[in-house]
Amino acid sequence: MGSRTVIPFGPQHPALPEPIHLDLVLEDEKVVEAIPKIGFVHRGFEKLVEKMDFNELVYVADRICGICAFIHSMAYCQAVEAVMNVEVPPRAVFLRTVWSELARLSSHLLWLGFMADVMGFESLFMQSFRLREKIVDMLEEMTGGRIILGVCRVGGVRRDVANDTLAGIAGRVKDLVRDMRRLADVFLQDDSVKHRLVDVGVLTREQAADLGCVGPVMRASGISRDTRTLGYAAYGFVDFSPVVETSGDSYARCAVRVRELFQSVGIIEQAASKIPAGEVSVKVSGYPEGEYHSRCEQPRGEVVHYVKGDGTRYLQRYRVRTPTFANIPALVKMLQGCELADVPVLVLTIDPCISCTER
Amino acid sequence: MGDDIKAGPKPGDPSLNPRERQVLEEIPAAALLERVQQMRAEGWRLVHIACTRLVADQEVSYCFDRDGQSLESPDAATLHGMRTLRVRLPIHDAELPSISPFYWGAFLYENEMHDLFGITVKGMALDFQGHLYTTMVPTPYVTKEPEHGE
Amino acid sequence: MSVLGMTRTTMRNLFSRPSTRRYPTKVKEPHRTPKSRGRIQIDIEACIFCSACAKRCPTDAIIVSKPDKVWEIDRLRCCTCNACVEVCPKKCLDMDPRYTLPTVTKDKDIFKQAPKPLKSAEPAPTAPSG
Repeated sequence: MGSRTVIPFGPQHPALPEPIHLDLVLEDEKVVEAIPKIGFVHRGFEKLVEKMDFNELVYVADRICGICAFIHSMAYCQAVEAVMNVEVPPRAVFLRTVWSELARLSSHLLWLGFMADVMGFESLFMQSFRLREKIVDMLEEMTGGRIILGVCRVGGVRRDVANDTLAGIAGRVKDLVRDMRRLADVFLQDDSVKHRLVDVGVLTREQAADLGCVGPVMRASGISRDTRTLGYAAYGFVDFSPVVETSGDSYARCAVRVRELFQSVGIIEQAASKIPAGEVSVKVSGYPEGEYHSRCEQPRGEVVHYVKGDGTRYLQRYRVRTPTFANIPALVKMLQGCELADVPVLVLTIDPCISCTER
Repeated sequence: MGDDIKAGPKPGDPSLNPRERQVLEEIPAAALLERVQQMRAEGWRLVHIACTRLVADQEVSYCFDRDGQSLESPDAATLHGMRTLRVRLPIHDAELPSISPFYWGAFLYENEMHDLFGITVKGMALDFQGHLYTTMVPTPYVTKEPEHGE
Repeated sequence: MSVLGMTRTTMRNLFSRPSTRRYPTKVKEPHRTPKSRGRIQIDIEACIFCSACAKRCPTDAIIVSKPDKVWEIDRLRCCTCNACVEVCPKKCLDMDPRYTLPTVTKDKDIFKQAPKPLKSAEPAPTAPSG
């Protein structure tokens, strides 16, 4: 039996994308145990309910994360609208769906780029970001913001997009499919990529269910669950089915995200063709009283925004449970028994977003 | 092209932005472990654990979900369902047992409860001893600001 | 063995136009769209100092003083959320989409409305009648 060493990994490290700290207990290059530590970017967002009223909290919700920002603000608005029984106009609901899917495309392309970077495949990283830049430019044309869109409000959305602009955007996204296909071929078939990903960090179906994973981590282990099937926003009006893989290793998690790119393109096309005319926002009067858990599917998994109001301007409680919070126990289990060189790859396959996790 | 009305949903369509049915169950703190064991046996997934500080006490909500099944017979406006178990605790010296024997992944939520709300949780799977979040003020979410806004 | 799948894409990228915008050497203006968020501008002569913008601002970047007729904005606090533009009753606030250069000082921008001339009771002089 070799001697054990403890190596601290993070929060600052060239191979680490997010500020998570791991104490890796090693036995001759094999990780025996990994003890996580978070808390380096805790900003205490949830205490802001005491200072900002329920309308202003949308700006806070937007800024919880720097990658998946729009879906946070949409989930918050849905929670408050459910508590206050506000009926959001259909056009606003469809616009929110289109923007969510564009945000999902940009997040998955970012993840693919980071994955290539962590494996050392720099040119693939740059190619993913080339594609992502086009998506983010489209978001800027429609809303004014690239990541933090600032377009959701309680009762609808703040900006409207003309129907022909929307059809143009859907056409441009469809044109990107050819480039995405080339990127997908490299990720799924290139031998050097497969060598790094296949059979690394296997999470069986039972383990995934026990640990309470969400999102692509769960779907790559064979559990077919996608929060979008709840039908929130306009997902009840578009056809899609959850992308599932069964092998549970890092390659499966990569394949799920790659296939979700094409699924998102399909959803954007459907939503852009079915969008009804009408106004985009309704006036909201009164104060929220009651509670609700609003669940949305972020690129990383299921996010829950819990809102509790007591009839005054300021909410009593606003709690966000982000998908990475639920996936960290899975990371700890996955790291047991892996090689040291696989640690950055495994940390990235759960798609960590530590700024979301700690708020 | 243009603004002609497309065949989409009309305002008031119940399947547009539907509200999920969420059931709340208040239980005493002593019955927590037994009830959580029952949920585990029935196959519920732990969604999250939330603490709320109210005026005179705190409440801890354990939220579970069993996707793909609604709680009672499905009808048009309600889908799926989440069940919440709620425990009421005093503000100071609150104690709870850990649900780690049934849900190993709950250690993060319980450490957060301890660090931000001051609730002592006994028997956590991974105990950070209060150092998960290092804040200047201990248990910041329990102390309220004296005035709102400016 | 598939290890050269990326080579075709790399060759294509090598011999085609760069996908980055060559700012500021070849492209003089950075990429902006009509809806881009740059900075808030005010037409101070139309302002009525109702303070609706200051109340709506989530970061408290705007300070309005009605007796002094002064409207000031802290540029570094402003997060360009556009809430003040939407709520202004006189529509004197506007979002300029141009790129704002970085600054090295924490200055506030202060706008003061010029005092309006008093309306006189006599009518303007006309040609004498009769």
